[in-house]
Amino acid sequence: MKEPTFVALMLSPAAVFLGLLVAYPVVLLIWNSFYEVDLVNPAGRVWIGLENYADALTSRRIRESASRTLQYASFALLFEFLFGFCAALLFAAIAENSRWHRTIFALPIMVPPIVAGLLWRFLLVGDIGILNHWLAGIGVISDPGAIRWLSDTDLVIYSVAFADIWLTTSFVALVSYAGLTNIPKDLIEAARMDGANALKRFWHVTLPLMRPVIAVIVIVRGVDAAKTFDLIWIQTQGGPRQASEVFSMNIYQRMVRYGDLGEASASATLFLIVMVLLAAFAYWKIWKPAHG
Amino acid sequence: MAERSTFDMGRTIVQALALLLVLSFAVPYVYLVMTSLKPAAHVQQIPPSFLPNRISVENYLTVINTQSMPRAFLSSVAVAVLTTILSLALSVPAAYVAAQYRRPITVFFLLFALITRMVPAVSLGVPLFQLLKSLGLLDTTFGLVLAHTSAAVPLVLLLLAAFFDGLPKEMEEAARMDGCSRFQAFLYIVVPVMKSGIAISALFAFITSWNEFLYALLLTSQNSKTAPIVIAEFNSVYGLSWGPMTAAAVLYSLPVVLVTLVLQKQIIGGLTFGAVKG
Amino acid sequence: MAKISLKDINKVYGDKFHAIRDLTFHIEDGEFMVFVGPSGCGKSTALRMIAGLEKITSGELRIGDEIVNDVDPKDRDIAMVFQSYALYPHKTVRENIAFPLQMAGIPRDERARRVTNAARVLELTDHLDRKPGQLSGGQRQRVAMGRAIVRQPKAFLMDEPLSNLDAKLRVQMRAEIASLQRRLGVTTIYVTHDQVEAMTMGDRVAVLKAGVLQQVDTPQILYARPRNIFVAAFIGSPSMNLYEATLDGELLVLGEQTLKVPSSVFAARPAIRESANRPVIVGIRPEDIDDASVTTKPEFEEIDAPVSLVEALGAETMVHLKIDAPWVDAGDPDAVAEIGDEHTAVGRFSPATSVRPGDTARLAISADSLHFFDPETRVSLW
Repeated sequence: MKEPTFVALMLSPAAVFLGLLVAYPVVLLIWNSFYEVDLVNPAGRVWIGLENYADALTSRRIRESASRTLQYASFALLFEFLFGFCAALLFAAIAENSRWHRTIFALPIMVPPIVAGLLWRFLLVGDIGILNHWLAGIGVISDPGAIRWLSDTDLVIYSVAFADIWLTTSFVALVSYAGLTNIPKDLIEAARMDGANALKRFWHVTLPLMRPVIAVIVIVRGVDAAKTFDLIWIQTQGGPRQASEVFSMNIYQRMVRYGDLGEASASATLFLIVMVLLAAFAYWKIWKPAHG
Repeated sequence: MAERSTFDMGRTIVQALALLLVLSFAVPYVYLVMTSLKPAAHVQQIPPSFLPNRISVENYLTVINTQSMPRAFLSSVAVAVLTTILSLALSVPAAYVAAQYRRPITVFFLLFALITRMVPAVSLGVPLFQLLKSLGLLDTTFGLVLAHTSAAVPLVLLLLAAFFDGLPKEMEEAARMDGCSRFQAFLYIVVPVMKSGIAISALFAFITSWNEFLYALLLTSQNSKTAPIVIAEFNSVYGLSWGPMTAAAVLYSLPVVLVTLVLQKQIIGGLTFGAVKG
Repeated sequence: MAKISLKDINKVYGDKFHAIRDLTFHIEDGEFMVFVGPSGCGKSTALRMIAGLEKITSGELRIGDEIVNDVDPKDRDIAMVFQSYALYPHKTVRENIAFPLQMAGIPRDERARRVTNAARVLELTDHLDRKPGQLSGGQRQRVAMGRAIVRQPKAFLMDEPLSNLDAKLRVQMRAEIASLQRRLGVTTIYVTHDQVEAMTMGDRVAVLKAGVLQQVDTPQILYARPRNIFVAAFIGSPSMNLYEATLDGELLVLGEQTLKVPSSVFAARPAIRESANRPVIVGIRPEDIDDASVTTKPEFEEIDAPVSLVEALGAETMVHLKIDAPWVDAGDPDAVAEIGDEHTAVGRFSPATSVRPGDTARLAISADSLHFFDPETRVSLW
């Protein structure tokens, strides 16, 4: 069999499948976004061109949900990275003795988001949330009702991110740890011989060499955090009063609850474009140069 | 001597910090397990206690005796297994040529998979709903399998391509010199040689489907609801019954938690598409 | 078993890189042919085209009497040993060796019999049930050989099969492969960058450079009558010393010094008469240079040269000498960098020599073994 024929045959099942279940739905999505669709009578679609996009870009609720997505994703990413990277450094410092630490730390990594959301809701919720009882117990807050994690509209978008942080810090930690152990020991030792102290060694040797690893973490985690739906849905369903409604949830609500297919499709298209551009940007700026 | 003891002290502090960090991340899950083992009446007591005053399987019995839960678990297993099989059948051949036969079309294909990986599920949800509806596959196991496979294939494809990248081209060439066609070389030599990589990819396909929520929420209603949907619905249907809910959550997450503990190293490698070797 | 012939074979990658240019020659039935050349000379590409793993851009390849340009490797009935061995890690040694027979549809007991035979020949009998991962480098190499010989194919192709072994094992396997091939009588093409392997193993050796065949001949002829300065420098170790010189009648003028070229040389190489009073490139093999004060050579010409380095190897002493004449680059990209930035000539002195660095040595040159090349075409003058 000729080489091109073989390649085509091996590739085609996956290509056809992705074409049918990814590319075609994307086309359908974009197509929908140019119509005004009546939920009661879906056949009565009216072509309205870019009007849905204009509406989406001027809607206050959409704008707020977009900025909430940004708040949520940056808050989650910041702490995941902070905790995860510190954990990796700690594990690397105790190197051979860190096997059990790492094993136990990896525990949340594959926990279904629905379970993580449920668990954190249970930890944070109203009177029975054990977190506030502990905080009160050690005197950080005056009484267990002092912080209303999931019902304070200013706080809730950060509180729902706790579950995300818990769920994925171990991913950051273990990936960073793998990266750290891949740094050749000679390099660190050479820097030590050159008289660099621990801080300088970290800044001039470890950090630059970790660049590709950090790139992977920021791309993968940033995109996933911005897409989050289930984790927040199970905790608050976007409430109270849309205070934790992120962009994906906004799209879902408008499609499913309000049946505004056209406008929701327009936002979903914008969302898709932004995510792909973001990923492409990260790929070209961080990953490509680091991989030579 | 003085230096030696500061060194030891530094070590002790590092050890203590590491332990503290690990414990603080393990405690929430342990608390979930502990809560599920409390008698239902104690679950919502104020103030809450970390440990059960006595161990009880009451919550588990409640879960098992509901109508919806056992069915939803079976549905989850069926969907995840079928998704795994379909994803591998599609991805293994494609990833192999994409990694071993570099040419414009395969590079484009991998790039397409990478972009697909970034597409938000919520964007694809409704068009998928329309598509499955027109095919008469709404609220069927097969329909959900198709949706989950569309999410799993890009992930598994990139993962497998990273594994196949490490396979020397000579494997296939040697097999062809030994009398195989390209396809026989793939089937008799490449696939068995790569079986551990394929197994890890299978695990990822399975977990992708097992943990998936949004498609299941959109595309199923009665017949093929998966466990995450039913667990989430515990709220509304049974009131705020935290006890059975924690028990269901433990039942649903324990298998993946145990697998994670055993295969931690391979999973870390997989999570980064082999970009960082674990 | 079959003869193999290549006619005007070309390989072009993309439309830029011309890897093989107009390659033409025949390999006789049962012959052991070696492709040798520096890295990037196209020797592996040529082999892979014969194997069918690489498409032939143009030309005609025959195995036996059949044109096989478009025949799939599996249908060419040739076996190949890879540099990395390419053993199947999930199969035992037995299964590895049996695999080609299995693919050929040979019945189980016949298969077992042939695997047992091959294993006995290659001394692998005790390792048949191990996986390749549990074997030493030498044993893996034998398994790769086993997979080739078990099938009795039309030809063996070997792509640097010994380059992953340590020096001692390489010498041993070299002899074993050569004698095995002679016993089986299967047409063999063997690719190597090591000219010692090429010279010791091949019935004939094809020297390639930058995708162009330089010369194909028996090792003796390659050594005695290299067609151009590339072959002259590539064959033989250390390399032939090449310098610009002029012929003045019967005298060779090398820098400030002269030596007399014996009439036997003019008789054997009539072409150099036409070069009289014109520049030439002269080649002197290290083994044709000795210390005049201790040499046992019956006849020689003498010149002086300062000594820059002495390497005593026991049976002989390598002496690096500064020759006062323009040095010639033979064009071997793999050639070892010279000491510092000065190019030295190497002489293979008898161990009795007492020269030291800094001395000026009186050299005994076997003038009847001099080589002459045209400075323009770089081709040997005969």
